[in-house]
Amino acid sequence: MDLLNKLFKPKKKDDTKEMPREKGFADLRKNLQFFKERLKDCDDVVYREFSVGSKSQYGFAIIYVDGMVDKFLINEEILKSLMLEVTRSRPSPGLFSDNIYSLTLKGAVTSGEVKEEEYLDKAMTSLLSGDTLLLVDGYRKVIVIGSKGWTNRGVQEPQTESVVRGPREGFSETLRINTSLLRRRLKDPNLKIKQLQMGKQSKTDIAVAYMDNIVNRGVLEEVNRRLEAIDIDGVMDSGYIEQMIEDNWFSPFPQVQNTERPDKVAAALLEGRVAIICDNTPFVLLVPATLNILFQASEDYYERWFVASAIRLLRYVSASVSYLFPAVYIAITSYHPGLIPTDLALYIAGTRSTVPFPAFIEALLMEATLELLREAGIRLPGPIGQTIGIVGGLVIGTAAVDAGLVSPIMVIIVSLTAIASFTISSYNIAIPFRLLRFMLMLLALILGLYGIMIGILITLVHLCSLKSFGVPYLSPLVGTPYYELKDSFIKAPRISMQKRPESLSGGNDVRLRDKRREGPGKGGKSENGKKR
Amino acid sequence: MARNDEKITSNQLVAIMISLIIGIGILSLPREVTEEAGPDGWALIIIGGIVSTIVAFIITRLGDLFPGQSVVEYSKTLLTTPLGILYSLGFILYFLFFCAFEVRVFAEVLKQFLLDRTPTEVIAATFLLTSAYMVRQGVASMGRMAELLVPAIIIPYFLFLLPAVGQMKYDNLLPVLRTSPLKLLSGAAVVTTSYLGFELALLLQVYMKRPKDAGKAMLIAMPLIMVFYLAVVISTVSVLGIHEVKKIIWPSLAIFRLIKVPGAFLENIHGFIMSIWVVSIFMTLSGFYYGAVLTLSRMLKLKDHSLLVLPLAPVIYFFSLVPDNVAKVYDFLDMFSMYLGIPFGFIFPVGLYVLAKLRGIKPKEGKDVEKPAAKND
Amino acid sequence: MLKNLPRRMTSLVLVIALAAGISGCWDKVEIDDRAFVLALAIDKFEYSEEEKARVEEQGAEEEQQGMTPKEYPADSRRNRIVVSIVYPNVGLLGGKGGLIPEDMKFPMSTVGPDIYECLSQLAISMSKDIFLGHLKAVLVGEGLAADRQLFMEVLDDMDRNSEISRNVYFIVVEGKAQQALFIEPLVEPIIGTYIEKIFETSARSSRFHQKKLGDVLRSLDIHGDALAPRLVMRERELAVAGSSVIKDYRHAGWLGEIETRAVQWIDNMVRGGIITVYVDDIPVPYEITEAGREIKIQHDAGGNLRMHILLKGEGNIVGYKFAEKQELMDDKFIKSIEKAIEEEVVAECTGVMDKLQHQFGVDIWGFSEYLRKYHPEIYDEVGKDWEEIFPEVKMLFSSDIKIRRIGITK
Repeated sequence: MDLLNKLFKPKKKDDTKEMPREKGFADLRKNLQFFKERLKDCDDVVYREFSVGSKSQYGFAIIYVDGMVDKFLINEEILKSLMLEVTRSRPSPGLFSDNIYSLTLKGAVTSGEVKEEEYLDKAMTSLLSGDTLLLVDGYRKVIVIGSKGWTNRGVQEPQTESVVRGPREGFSETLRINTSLLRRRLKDPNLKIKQLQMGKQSKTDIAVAYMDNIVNRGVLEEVNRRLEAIDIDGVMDSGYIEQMIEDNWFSPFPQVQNTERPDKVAAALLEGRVAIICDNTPFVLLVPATLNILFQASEDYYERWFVASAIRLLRYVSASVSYLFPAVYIAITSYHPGLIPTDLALYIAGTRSTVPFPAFIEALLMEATLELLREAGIRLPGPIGQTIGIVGGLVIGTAAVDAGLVSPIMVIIVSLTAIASFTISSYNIAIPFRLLRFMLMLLALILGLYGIMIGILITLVHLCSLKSFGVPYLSPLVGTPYYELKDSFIKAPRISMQKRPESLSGGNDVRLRDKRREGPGKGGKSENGKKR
Repeated sequence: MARNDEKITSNQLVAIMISLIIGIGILSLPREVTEEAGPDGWALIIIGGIVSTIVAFIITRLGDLFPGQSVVEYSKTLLTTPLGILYSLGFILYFLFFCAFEVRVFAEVLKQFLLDRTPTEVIAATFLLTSAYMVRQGVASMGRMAELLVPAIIIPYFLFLLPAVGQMKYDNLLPVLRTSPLKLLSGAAVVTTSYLGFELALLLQVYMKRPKDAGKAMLIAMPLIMVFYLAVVISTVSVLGIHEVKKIIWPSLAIFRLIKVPGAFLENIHGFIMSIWVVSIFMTLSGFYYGAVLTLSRMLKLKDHSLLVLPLAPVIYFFSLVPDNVAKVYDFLDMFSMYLGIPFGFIFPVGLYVLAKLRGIKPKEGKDVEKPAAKND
Repeated sequence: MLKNLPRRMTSLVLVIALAAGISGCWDKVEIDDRAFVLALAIDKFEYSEEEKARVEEQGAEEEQQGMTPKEYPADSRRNRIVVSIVYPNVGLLGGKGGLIPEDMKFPMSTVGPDIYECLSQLAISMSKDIFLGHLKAVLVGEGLAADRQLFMEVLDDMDRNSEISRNVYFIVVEGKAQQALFIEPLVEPIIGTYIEKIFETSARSSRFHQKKLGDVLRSLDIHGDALAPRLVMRERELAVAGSSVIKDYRHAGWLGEIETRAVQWIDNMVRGGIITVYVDDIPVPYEITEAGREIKIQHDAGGNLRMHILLKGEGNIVGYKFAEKQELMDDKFIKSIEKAIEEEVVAECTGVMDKLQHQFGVDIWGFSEYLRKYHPEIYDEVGKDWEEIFPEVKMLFSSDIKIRRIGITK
């Protein structure tokens, strides 16, 4: 029987049943019963029944989840208003004899956010989101009072993206705080923030933010489409979303950008990109994301262009170094010593004469050790983690050299590679280079310099065919008008960045007007402000 | 995997052409033109360049007459269906042979200068497979790749030539123009292999965002290539002198072994040059490979060309291993230029155009996929 | 399964390729397993008459006793050249104390029919892989250079090989090249580097011919003649001085240092050097800072060619005699010194030209090329028979020397 069942069962069982859409009961008892049943064994839910009216003739009840609500608000605005103030006020007789429910809804409750809800399951969701439910005896509908208040980390400096110059505010784990951080930077009605819920059992609040007059409509539609297509039980972090809306999840290169910095998000929105904010995580997603965008840092825009260009170039060079260096070392020492100056070749040969391994193994060993140290450094708390990095590196490196297991050149190369990979601004774009480095090393092992070229070609082909929400990953280097290059390898002076990148925006181009050329008498602000 | 839908811009066509045409020819080019015309070899380059530019332009005009159709389709109209099919099949063979040459010469040079003991088969196979990966991604990816790589090929090449300026003796180019014009014209045939590639436009034009711009693109690409070749030939001959250039098989590479950048980390830069050259040949191979795949896929009216890519790889591989030795390779190459290169590259396209004009076909108003913006490109 | 066929096929192919690849690594040689040969010496293998007799006798004896001959038999077709190499002990250089600490370098040599066979014979007794990519100098023994057949073989080997850079120094050794290679120099332990540095640092002295392998080969290509630098051995030193005249692919004789400088002046290759002239019995050394030449070619009355070569130079006087009454800071006196130098230069050049025209009969400068480029009409006439015509060409020299500075005292 069981076997037959297994054979004929069409698909996997979906355990999460949809909650039946029950409407509220008129009877207060029955409503309370509904909630108490569903929330059996949820001891953090509080039920408070009370009477309102001079003669306590009306039965009310509130339900809230302890820990998620602003108790002050409940006590002051709800309980106090209803229990005390109401009796003190003298409503006009007409109003009074009217529906006690509407009175409560529209007049008595002094809290700011008040809605009514017909369906109990939705009310349940609100309750579990931190709202307070107000049940009135004799009425089917439930009054939902916004009372969210829980302890939060608050707005702190983002840990993963610190800057020398620039704001130090970072997103927090509460959606509303995050949206407010965004609003403060873009005080324009065009900033649209559309909310939806994702995750059948987590019912996480997601917000899609964009500038209505700049955004690329195609991208926006695509974002919405992909978000709606997500059918998952829970969303714990924006990472879940990222992985489900990516164009190509096989690729080591991320096609979605994430950040903790509100200034970065605001700037991105001004370019026509779309932000996806996810409750319970400070990491906000930004799409579309190209390679160039992932190499940009906020500071590039706050510092002067010369410094910014130099540092940006440095980043690109670092990426190449972290990608190529060990493989080139392997190729040169194992295949083509003729390519380096004689003295260097002799020196390297000398230092390697006691090393028992071939260059590839040596490199692999050191690289693997370094990756281990790096991971260990991340997991260990605070000062211990940093010490491990230094101690581990120095001790292991020196010891290995003294033991004659690796050559000093190798240690230098590996260290340089590691440092190079740290200079890359965002963590998720450093990773593909770190990983691909190993592929290159393998190719260098087999085919020398030719192998490295093959590896580079494969990587380039992949990058050329990769897209992020319709935008080619390698824009603005390819396929775009040349002015977009002003913000790639170098960062041109702000006064010359007059147009928005066409590939990202919906065509609303002008972001900056060079007033100096236009002569006097044309006062007033430029069209979309100079803010970035 | 409908990858065929994205179109290329005219900049990308220019880039594809440049990276496609600059291929194996460039290695032996100085030797071949000097063998024909001594110090006046550069004149052959100019003649070849002009002729190629004209033919390339004619090809784009031909494409304008049949918007939305590639040569596979309109050859059937112009030549009657069976002949058209024959033409397309010949074209495929042409592309496949060219690919085989690229692979083989590449492997030979690589073995000679970088990897002596690695089997030719391994080099050929890895190169082909990587190229197959590129070809599967479709024309837009190739366009982007070309756009990215063309500056990466051309700029370093000249940068690395700078240290050699001291060693260039311009009097190696004397005496000027003492060769008879007749000899010059007949000698120009030798440069045909180096200019071949523009015939791919017969197929690519239909994949452009604005096919009308193809003509402009060719008028930019071909002269640029000619200038590049001129620079290569002039610099090679002036460093080596005509006698030595005639003796060394691949003089364009040999000069880089001569150049020493004093005090620099990489004293011997020929490793760098080899790397750049690998990239250049890769683009050439991919272009012709794509030509074969595209022609076949259009003949079979397939939606997605990527199925055809891998099956063609063994064909190219076996072709490339046919010649026994280096000398035979160049013998075959000469035959190829004569019997397939010149017809498919120059004669047939011009012939088709003349036929079309004779039939009175007028350029139709084609649909541009993208409206030309008010701003420039 | 079928839906993903292209992707699976690709993966399959890649996996096979990778497996095949890892088993290969055909060209991989670890850098410390390579022997970096920085200098190569090639000699002709020959015995003197008595040695020959002795070896033959000894060989016959040994054969009778059934042993293999200990010395190389003289008349074998296989024993034609001696190839010697020297490679540094990298362990010592790297400061890590290599496996064999005592020696800075390892000399080896063997006898064989050609360079490649010799190298592979050497390889069987070496623990390292011979690497010629960093070769700095090739030393050719006088004996071998004089043997046309052998010399041409050696030249082709250098030419055709892609590993040997065209920038190596190609030197003819007065005596046996092997000897030069194996000396223990005072100044620089590694011969290859030693020779390279001599060339680089003494470039301005003009006492040897400033050319590398590529230039020599090119010269030979064009007209079968060339000038190559000469190496002179002393007890613990090497000197690069003078040159070897190569005519028709064999070494035909030597030119001294001064003669070499004259040759280079005519070739427009002088960059420095000292000429000492005697004025009133006082030797006055003149330091050349710039030098050049101009050529005029004409037909004279009898239809023969005449070449007039003007030798130009600029420089400083660097020595005189202390407390001499005649001061140098005197324009007229300077002019007279200039004249003396001019005469000296003309004399040197005339002498060397005479030697090359009549004694050697070699157009070492490749004037035929000069004619081909600048006077194509004349070249069309005489190019084919240039070898015979060259000795008959009348060469006239004149000189224009300028003295610019005289040091810091009057």
